[in-house]
Amino acid sequence: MYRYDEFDHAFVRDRAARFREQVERRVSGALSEVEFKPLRLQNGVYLQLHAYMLRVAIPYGTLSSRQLRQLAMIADKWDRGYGHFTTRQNIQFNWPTLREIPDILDALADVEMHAIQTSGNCVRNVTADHFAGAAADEIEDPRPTAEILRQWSTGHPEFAFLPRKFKIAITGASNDRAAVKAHDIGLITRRGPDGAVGYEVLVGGGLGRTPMIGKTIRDFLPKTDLLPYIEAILRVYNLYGRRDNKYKARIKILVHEEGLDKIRAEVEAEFAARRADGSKAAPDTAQTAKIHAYFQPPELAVKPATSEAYESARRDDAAFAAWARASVTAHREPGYAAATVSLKPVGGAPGDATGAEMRAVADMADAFGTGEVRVSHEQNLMLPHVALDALPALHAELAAAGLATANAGLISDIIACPGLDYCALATARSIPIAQEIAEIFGDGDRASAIGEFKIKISGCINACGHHHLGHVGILGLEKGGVESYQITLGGDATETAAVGERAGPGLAAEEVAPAIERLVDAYLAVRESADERFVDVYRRVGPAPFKAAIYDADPATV
Amino acid sequence: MARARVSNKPRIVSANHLMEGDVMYRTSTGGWSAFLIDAHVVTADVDADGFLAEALSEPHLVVDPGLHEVEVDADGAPRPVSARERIRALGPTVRRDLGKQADQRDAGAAAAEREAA
Repeated sequence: MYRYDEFDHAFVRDRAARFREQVERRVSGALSEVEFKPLRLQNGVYLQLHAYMLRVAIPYGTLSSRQLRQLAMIADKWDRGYGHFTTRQNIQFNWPTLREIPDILDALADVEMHAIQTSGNCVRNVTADHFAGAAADEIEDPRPTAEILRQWSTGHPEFAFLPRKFKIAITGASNDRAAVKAHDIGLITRRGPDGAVGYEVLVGGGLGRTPMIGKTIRDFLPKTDLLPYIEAILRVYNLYGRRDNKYKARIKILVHEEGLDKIRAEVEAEFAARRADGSKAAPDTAQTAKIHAYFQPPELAVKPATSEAYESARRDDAAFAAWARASVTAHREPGYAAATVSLKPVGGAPGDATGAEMRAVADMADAFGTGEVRVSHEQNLMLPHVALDALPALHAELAAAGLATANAGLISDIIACPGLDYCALATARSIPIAQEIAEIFGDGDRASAIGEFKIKISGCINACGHHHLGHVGILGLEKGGVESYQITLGGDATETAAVGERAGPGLAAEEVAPAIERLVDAYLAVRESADERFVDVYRRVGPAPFKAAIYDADPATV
Repeated sequence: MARARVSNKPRIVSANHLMEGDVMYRTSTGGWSAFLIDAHVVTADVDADGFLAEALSEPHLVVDPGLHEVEVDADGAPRPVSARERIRALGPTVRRDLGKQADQRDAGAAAAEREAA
């Protein structure tokens, strides 16, 4: 993974020192809150319901064990002993004080981490496939590109005051595990006509109050043109993006209102102008090669494709078999796998991990993997390179640490934002809804029999829980002072991206979990096989039986 | 924060402590308390506007002060009308060991211990 050079170290230290000064000036009154707020946001500092919140960047979801231990230390020393992993592969601390945040930033800098541009109207954390560099179906590891984009966008003076936030995601495979079609810019790694690697570029995806799936602005962009082209898109957005209305300021609205063809023409003209004037937007080849070198595949001992230890554990240990079915993903190297560590214990807060749990995962990454941990946008952790032989021992360690919930990708692996329990923007609570649903289905045979089922819950219209992309999405609103939950159906975060369709009127909080249970029963009644997922059945039969189930009504009347 | 569109309803002013981030309530003496029970309740709109203006004049102490409607019980204790302010007054509903609800329990337990001693 990427290692900071002297420039990077100095940059992050300097930024932390500057923020310390900015806090002092805010306290002294030299800066008003109006002046201070954009500065603190661009250093990841929010003011939430109970306290400040610090959002720490985890670039493209990749962490070393050392970094994860430092996050654990921060949680224990300066917070309340836990952190929350987010749908953008970051981590949030819910209880830091403004007084101590400069010390936290220094502690992050000690391990090559920061909180720069995790909020504010700027380019945010560039996210990528959590199985990057390990997945069997990958064309190319997307993380060197993500790192180039991170360096290019961090502190970019032209893009420090965009009309609104800007989010970029990249997938290294045709199977999109990074939800790229729901981002302002999505990059899909492709092979060009001559076999060279490049990208399909999508623009104008986004969730929130006007969800839109990204549109292809370029079918194939050669790798060497990436930065000039991305910069051209940002320039056009910066120039034409609306600044009169916060709710119409994202690039998705610009593309929608102006039309893709017009935006494409503007971008291509800007791109051509940049190339014609000899602009050096593209990184030099030496720097690019240096970045790529950090992401060389780890040297893994050669192993046979099958492992007797793994196979016999699957045969003889039912708990291990259940965990492996949910948590083990095929690796491109024979004899290896990527292992998912679910942070969705049944009845727990989705995506939360204690300092002790973070340290345990860090230790397991060192003992059973290559010292590397990944964070997915589905709020789970992964160990990307684990020998099949080692999986039984890994599972035993996870079980001892209370981290062996066998529900990755299943119905109780629910994505949920912090919601009204924490967030100043929220209109309803999300975590209790997730807990109730998870408690109904558990992580055992019932969840396993249902199969892949993606529930995503947002506590407000901002959709941080990605509810629009859930096979079943749940949106918490407020109606007359009471929490009210809308259900959406048929969303999809993958390469077959789709925005879920609203099922009908909102439900009271206590009605949601029973409605979901009826919905699942309706799905099981009409699926043609155990392999036909809910979202596939929805596409085949339409919403009627599921609306009827949700509202406990006659299908003819919904 | 924008004033709620209400008229002559009982309201309090809450904010966040600038350095600590804790929720604070403006008291009748113009100070700040961490506890809802100490919040001064104003009713007349003109009083509420003045009360908020005082809070807004202390950016060196608090951030984002706002007026929030409350109901007042028989003992005169305010209870926020909105779920948001009720959660702010107590802490996360999913972590009863965190936030003011835990502090108040700890304070209650300490008081009980002192009494027993």
